[in-house]
Formats: sequence, structure tokens, C-alpha cells
Amino acid sequence: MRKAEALIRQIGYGLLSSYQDYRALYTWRSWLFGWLARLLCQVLFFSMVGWAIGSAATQRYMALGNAVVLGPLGAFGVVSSSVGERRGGTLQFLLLSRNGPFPVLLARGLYWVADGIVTSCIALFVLRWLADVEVSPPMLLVCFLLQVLITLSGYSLALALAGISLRWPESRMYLTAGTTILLMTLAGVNTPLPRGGVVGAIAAVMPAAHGLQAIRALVAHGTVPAGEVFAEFAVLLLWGAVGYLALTGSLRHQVRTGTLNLR
Amino acid sequence: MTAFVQLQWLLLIRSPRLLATLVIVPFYSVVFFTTLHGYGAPGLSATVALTAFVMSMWSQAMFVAAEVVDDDRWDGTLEPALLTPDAYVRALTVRVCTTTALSLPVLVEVIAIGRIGFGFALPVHRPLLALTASLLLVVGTAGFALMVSALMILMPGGRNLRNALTYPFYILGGLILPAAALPVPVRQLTQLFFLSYGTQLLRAAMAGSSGSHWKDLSLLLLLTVLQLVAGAALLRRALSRARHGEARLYA
Repeated sequence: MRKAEALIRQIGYGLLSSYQDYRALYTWRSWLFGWLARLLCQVLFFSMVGWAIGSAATQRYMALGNAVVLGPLGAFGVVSSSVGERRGGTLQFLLLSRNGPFPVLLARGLYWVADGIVTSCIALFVLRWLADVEVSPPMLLVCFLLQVLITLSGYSLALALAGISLRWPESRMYLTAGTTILLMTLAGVNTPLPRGGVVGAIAAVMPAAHGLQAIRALVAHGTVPAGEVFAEFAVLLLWGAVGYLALTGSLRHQVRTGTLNLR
Repeated sequence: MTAFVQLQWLLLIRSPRLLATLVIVPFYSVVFFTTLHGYGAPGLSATVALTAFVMSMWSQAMFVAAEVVDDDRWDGTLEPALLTPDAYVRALTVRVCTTTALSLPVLVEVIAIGRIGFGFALPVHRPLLALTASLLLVVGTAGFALMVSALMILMPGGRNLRNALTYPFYILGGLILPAAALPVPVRQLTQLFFLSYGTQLLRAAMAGSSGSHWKDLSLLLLLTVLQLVAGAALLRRALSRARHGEARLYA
């Protein structure tokens, strides 16, 4: 019971400090006119590719995919901020927490999740003006819930990448960019989700792949296929487990070998 | 001038992470090529190849070249350099141009990915025009990077600003849709931006479209020079303010 209480308290403080980190990163003006405007331009840019390909349906397909994928892509920020903890010398202190490093590192990066959910939901809302994709307010509420699932799923994968990057900090950019390219190529963002074969198997465990299908079905037919939601949840659990093993394993190895301090 | 180029070259090859953008960003062409492959739209392959090339050049300028003052600060060479009233701005201008110019081979890299990986033809019918436009684009983009490095000194949140300067400028630069296809207010802005003339000329060079391109080339040259002069002037002003203690170099 006391352990659970400590865990909740730890996540609470992690959230609080992550909120302060986020506040240090942006003012409301730089967030609105810098960050959000840039993300909306990203969605618009890819919907332009769809338009250039020559069909309004392709444009709408790519616009919706790119709006949804903003969530998991935003969550990838935790890779860089976790490496930042190591470079900044704060990681050693976080490791002293009584429940182990995983909950505290998970909580410290949750602002990336919140940012991803908020920006992707705003993008979904403005899609009607950007690309003529109508997401009604009740639908948006369901999209929000699905977006929480999708972004957490992406966050779990990002934690696994953070585990590797904490051990090899220079790999951070390559891992994030490589995974972003995989996600944009295989998760059904710009082209239909690959089914079958090796590519289909990889696509099936990509975060957002199933959740995006659920959102597409919701926007097109007004129903959410339960199978896709469960599949996305399974992907979240899978990457959550991999993230736990990668993060704790990487940190344990570095503590044991005395290689944690970069300075 | 050669000394400045040599210096920047040595700095870059001694810390390979500075070249990472050039390795990573071209692979975004895989996203574009896969999309075209999926929809059976090979006609757009030249446009997306050029898009990936210009995105790489722009990213290299924003995320690596624009950090030149910041890098000097970390290396401890900024203070002595600030004692030289004029040479430092010249050095920075040449160094930023050198770093940005390293993105030129990306055009070949992206074409190779398209040809070998996806079977797109991607011919360059007018290589001389492509080379001229690319060189001018390098100088203009470096000019923009100089402006950004000045803003990073003048504004406390300047570093975050660079992220915001990507996709909006890809749209303004006419990367996917040419200026003529954009709505009127955006089109007018696009016509003042050197990038849009550069991408237009690169597209023409790949397609081998006949006719004279002197008008577009002249406009690109003019806007590029203006961009470089504006960048150098703003950086000179930022450094002057830093010398007088009016800008925080250690924020």
C-alpha cells in the first residue's frame, strides 16, 4: 500500500516537473504561432502531396493520417529529453527514486504525450478547413479518446528508443528519424495499411496503425471497430513491456559499469 | 576566405554528428516515393525528389549551420572572435555557406534512392541549370541561416524557433505545389521568397522544359543576394549588441 502511494506521488511530481519543463520550452505565443502553426503546416504539406497526386480522396486520406500521426510523433520528443537528463546530470538523481527509474522517467516525459494529444486533436478539428475532412464535435470527443491510446502507444515505443539512446546518446537522431520514417511509411498514414508478409507483420505492431484505422472508420462511417481498438491497446502493452525492459536494462548496465556520467 | 572554409570543414569532419542531418533527411524521400508507388503516380517523382533535397538543405542550414555562433560559444572561441569587429561576420558568413553547401550531394543521393529503390526514371535534362539553381539556393538558404543565428542571439527562445521554420517555409518555397497553384495571398508571399524560384528552376531543369529561364534566374539571383545581405547585416547587429552587453549570449 505504501509502495503504491509512493508510486502515485512519484508520478505526480514527475508530471509537475514535466509541466514546468514544458513551460520553459514555450510561451503561449511561441507555442501557438510557432509550434502549432508548424504542425498544421506539416499536415497541410502532406495533404498537398495528396492533392498533387490528383484526387480529392487521396488528399483527405493523407490529411487525416498526418493529423493523427502528430500524436505519436510528438511523443517521440521523450527520446531527446531523456538523453538531455543524462547530459544535464539530472539522471543520477532520478535513479535514486524508490520505485526504480521507469516510473519517474515515464512521468518526466508525459508533457510530450499531452502535447501530442492536444496538437493532433486541434489538427483533426481544423481539418475541415485544411483539407475538407469533417470531424464533428461528438466525433472529436471519441477521436480524443482514441488519440490518447495512439499517443500512449507511440510513447511506449519512444521509451524503448530512449532506453537505447541513454546508452548510446549519439544514436538518438538516427533512431527517432528512422522510426518516424517507418511510421510514416508503414502505419497507413499516407498509403493503405500493408496486410500480410513481413511488411504487414511490421506494420501490425507499429503504434497508430490500428488506432488510425479506427479513426478512419469513425470519420467515414460513424462507428469504431472494436478489433482495431483492442489491437492498438495490445501494441501499447507490447511496446510498454519493451520500453520497460530497454530503459531499466540500459540504466542497470550503465550503473553497473560506471558509464552513466557523460561529463 | 579559404581559411574560413578550411576551418569549418575541419570542425565538421571532427564531429560527425553535425553531418547527421545530411544522412537522415534524404531518407524522408522514402516516405514520398512509397506514397507515389502506392498510388501509381510516377509523374510526381521529380517533384518529390526535389522536395526531399530542398528539405535536407533547409534542415542542414537551420539545425546545423545556424548553430555556428552557439558552437563557438561552447568551444570558448566566441569571446576572442568578438574582439575582431568585422572579420568574424565574414568568417561566419563563409562558414555557414560551407556547411549548407555540404547538402549539395543530397540531390544525387535522393535521385539514387528513387532510381534504385523504386525504379523511377528521374532524369536531369539540364544539369547546368540544376547546378546553377542549386548553388544559388545554397547561398540563399545560408543567408536565411545567418538570420536565424542572429535571432538565436537576440531572442531568448530563438533555438525553439528553428523547428517552426520548416514546414511553413516548405509550403512558401513551392516545394510540392508551385506558386501558381497556391491561393492568392500565399502566392504573393511565395513570389517574394527566393526558395520558390529555386525549386521552380530545379523542376524545369529535371523536366528539360524548353525556353529561356533567364527571368527566373535573375530573380533568384537578386533575392538570394538580398537574403544573404539581410542575414549578414542582422548577424552583425546581433553581435554588436552582444559586444555592448545588450544581448545575452549565455541565455
